[in-house]
Amino acid sequence: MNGITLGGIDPSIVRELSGVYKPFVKAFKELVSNAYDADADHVHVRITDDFSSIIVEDDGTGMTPFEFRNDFTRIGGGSRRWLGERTRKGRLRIGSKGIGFLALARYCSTLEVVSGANRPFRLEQSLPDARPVELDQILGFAVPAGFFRRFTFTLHRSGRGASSPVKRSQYKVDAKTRTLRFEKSVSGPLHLALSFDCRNMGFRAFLNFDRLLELADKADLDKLSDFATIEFFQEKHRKRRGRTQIVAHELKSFVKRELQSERRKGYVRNIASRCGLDAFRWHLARSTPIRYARSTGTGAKKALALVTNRKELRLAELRITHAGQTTTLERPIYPVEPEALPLHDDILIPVAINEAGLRAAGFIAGYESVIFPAEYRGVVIRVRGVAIGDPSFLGAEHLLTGANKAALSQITGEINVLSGLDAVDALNPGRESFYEESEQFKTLRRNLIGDGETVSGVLASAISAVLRRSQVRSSLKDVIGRACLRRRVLDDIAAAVAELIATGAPIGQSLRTLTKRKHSQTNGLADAPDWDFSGPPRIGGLKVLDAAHLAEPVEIDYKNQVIRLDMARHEWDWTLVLFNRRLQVANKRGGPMQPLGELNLKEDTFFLNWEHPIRSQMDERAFLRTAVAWILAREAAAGDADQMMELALRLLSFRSGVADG
Amino acid sequence: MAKTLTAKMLLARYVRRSDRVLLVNPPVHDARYAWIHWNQPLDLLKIGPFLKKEIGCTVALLDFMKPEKGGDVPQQRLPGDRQSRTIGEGQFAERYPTWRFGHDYEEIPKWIAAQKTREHPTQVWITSLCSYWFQSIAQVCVRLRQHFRDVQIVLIGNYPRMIPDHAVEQCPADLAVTRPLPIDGIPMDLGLYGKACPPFAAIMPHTKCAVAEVRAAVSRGVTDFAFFSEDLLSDGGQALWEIVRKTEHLHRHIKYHVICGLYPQLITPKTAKILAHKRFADLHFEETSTNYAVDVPVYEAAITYLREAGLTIPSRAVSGFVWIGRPRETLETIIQNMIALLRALGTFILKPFTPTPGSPEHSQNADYLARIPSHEDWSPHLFPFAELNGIARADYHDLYRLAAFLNDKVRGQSFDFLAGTLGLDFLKSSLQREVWRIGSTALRTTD
Repeated sequence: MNGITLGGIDPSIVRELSGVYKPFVKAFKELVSNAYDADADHVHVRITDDFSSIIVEDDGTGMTPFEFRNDFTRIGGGSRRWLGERTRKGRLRIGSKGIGFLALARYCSTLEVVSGANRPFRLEQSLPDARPVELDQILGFAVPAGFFRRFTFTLHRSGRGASSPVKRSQYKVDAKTRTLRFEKSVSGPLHLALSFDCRNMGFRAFLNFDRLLELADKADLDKLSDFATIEFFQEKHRKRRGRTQIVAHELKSFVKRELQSERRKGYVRNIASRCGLDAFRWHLARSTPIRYARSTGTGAKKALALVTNRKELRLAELRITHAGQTTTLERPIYPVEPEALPLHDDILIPVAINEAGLRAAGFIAGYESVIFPAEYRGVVIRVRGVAIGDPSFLGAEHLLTGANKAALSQITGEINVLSGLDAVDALNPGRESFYEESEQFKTLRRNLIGDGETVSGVLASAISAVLRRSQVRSSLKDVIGRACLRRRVLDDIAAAVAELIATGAPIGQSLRTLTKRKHSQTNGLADAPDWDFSGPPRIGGLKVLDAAHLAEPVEIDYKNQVIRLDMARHEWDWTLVLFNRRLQVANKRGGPMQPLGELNLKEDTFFLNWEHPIRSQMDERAFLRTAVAWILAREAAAGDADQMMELALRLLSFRSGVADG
Repeated sequence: MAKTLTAKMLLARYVRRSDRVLLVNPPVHDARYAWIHWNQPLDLLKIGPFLKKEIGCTVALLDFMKPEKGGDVPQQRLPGDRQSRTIGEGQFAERYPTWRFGHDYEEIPKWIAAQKTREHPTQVWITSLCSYWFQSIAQVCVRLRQHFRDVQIVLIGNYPRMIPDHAVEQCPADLAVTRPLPIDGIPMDLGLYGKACPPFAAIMPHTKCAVAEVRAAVSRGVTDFAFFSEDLLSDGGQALWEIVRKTEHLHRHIKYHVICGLYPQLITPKTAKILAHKRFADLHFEETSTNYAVDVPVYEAAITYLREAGLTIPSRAVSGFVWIGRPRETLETIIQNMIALLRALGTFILKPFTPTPGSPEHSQNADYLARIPSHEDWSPHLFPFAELNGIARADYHDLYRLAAFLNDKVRGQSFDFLAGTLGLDFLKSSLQREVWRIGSTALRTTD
């Protein structure tokens, strides 16, 4: 094993840069991003059973040892600058700032990289004179002697006039000392062109992060080369495509604890409460360029259609294996969660931005209840298929208050930036946030939340839709709730009458006698106008229509601005069962001078006067119970005041269920 | 007012092929329900297939007493001022909680919501096990009328049969069946429960269809069977043996529970051999007594035969019932019976008594019973004969505590927790007089 010199690193920066990626999964995703940039189709992540190591294998283009040294471990360079914006397959590269290799520095002791590529390495360098050239210095590591035959050297005399080649006999390559020496007759300046045939060979490199961070602490520039080693090996038949395997050895104890953690006991809903491995998989699926998870739900399909870009290049497959179980990851979004709330058209807001060089597409969706898992709340913005930071509301949460702010917990979104916002200076290191000074970011923000002191834009529309639905639901709950309470009163009284009659007590016998009667005295309350309990004509701006035999008590059609109330349901029934007779309760506006109520046993009708003065002393339910109980008691007691009191009290106090009302 | 009629008349005049009949096993309102887990509407399970086959009408079942998924039957205190009642007066007064055993009445709208069709039943037949459980029947009736406008409500079972006048006048039903159909020979249909089967099947062993019923139940996943019979061994155990012999191979976890109708005087070497079969999970002996005192030699003989047949006694699987609450009984006799069965069998179960309407106990005590304010107070758990016997209800409750104490086979030096009650006096007196011989028996303290 030979040491590698990684030059140009300020030790104080090493520790800073390694701390950019938090938590572990965000650091780890950089390895997947590298595989993507290497044109990999399949990436396989294996976690050892004891969580001590994690291995990433990909079928990308691989690396030569020189590319490893010059690209993979080069801080500040970034493959984009050397290799262009796009990969051979036309993918827009994810890695840009050249700090990815440090991502895992804090999370493991050693990083092992095994790779190879059938690409030649070429280097050109000007030599001012003909002094011996230490190849280690210009290459950055010592090429083993056995591999020296792969070198091809071409030397020219440079300087004024035409260049002329230096004959092979005029220089000597010493594989032992790894030196290029010239004959005395050769003088500078010279131009060296060097190539190395990397076919059918691979390399294994070790980055000792514990040592690196130790050195960084001591700020020992000279010894920064001691933390990395490399060895070469022959490979008989390398396939056309490369293969890279990266192993993070000796994961830190806190990483192991996090991965091994068990699901929280009891009823849990958030990702953070799941077992560590599940949470790791979920976060990795959310932050890597893979396919969206699919769903058969109508709303979910519509949401997916807004974010799925057929031209988007992504990994064909990302798999994770642990303890013999392999999972293929798909990017989850809230609408495809198995327990996601229904997604309705009016609250699924498409986002399409094409302005000032920024093109973005996606959706913002509101829901009728708080979203769980909580990790889905907020809007995810993806650049080149990778989520930039956690879902957020771009600062809107600081501008909102009250119900508007509360509505944010019911909103989720997914925005893919198709072009723009991918310049190196648009994203902060680690790709966890945007440079907010970026004009394109300002465009995005303005479209999504506006740029004033109040929230506008697409988010405002979503909040408005969520609040409107809440209002409608709340109003309906009140309307239907009141109907249920009224119905409960009539059911209670019917049950009370049945129980009292069944006991055979004197008051029960009086009631029984009442149920057999065909005549009663009435005073004209029947002629009073009706009091309508059929529900309000409009709720939340939506027209209320009577319906029958719906699957649910109410159907809300936001599209057509209509609410259908199933009036055939039991809660809207005004029948009072009096033992074996069915009386119809007729609600009247009798005015303050009319009696509380009347019982017409000939027509089986119970008239109630809702404008009686005592109505003002009690709520709707209490008035109904009081009126019916007293009228029945009076009729059954037939003049016996004591019996009337006892009967009324028994009817008033009877409850069917444990929960009152 | 409801009409009374026989089942035959009901079928002839009121049931048509086009009818949709809902069979209901109602919940129970009572202070206690010790055998709640063995409540199964066997009559409805036989009437259902009978109606389907003979009349061709549609039949459904709503069983309020069906256990929940965990195996327990729900129960709840009645709300408000119905949650407890005071029974008796003076020294006999006792405040009892009132429970609803079984699902609550919301099962009716739940059942309605679960139906695929909007067509409501045209008839509802409500069964009844005990006549004093009429309150819940009345509640079911009124709730059915709230939901089903034109439904015809029919009462069947022991309530209309035993006290038809009460059913007609005080229950909001339309028809009360006073004489049932002979349907014992019709195989029960557990399919009325749909996909979810009950935890056990009730079997009347002396019917020709008993074996077929066991087979059908096993095919539905039921492996526990309870025998319901007035006299299980009246035929020398032949029917029982037929069932065991022909069904034991059906499933290795089949268990038979003998919870009633087993008399020790009918235990012979032959019947003992049957009962000692490994499939019998528990045996409960009815009380055999003369003038309320248990016939110890009869029990001893039965136990001898059972031990010879291979059964281990004492065992928690074997017990004997001891009646309490009978008219003109004494506490001393009861305690003597408890101790005698404890010695003989190792375990006993107190069985509270109430007279069946129309029985000799009823007619012999008619005047006394007529003074009880409501028929629901005839519940055995309320000890309707307490005043007649001069035994406070508190003393009867102490007997339950004593039973639990003794059944645990722990015999301490004192019974201070019974202090001040008549029960203690009698127990102490019995212990002093050594009314039993204490040898190597189940009374020995086990540590």
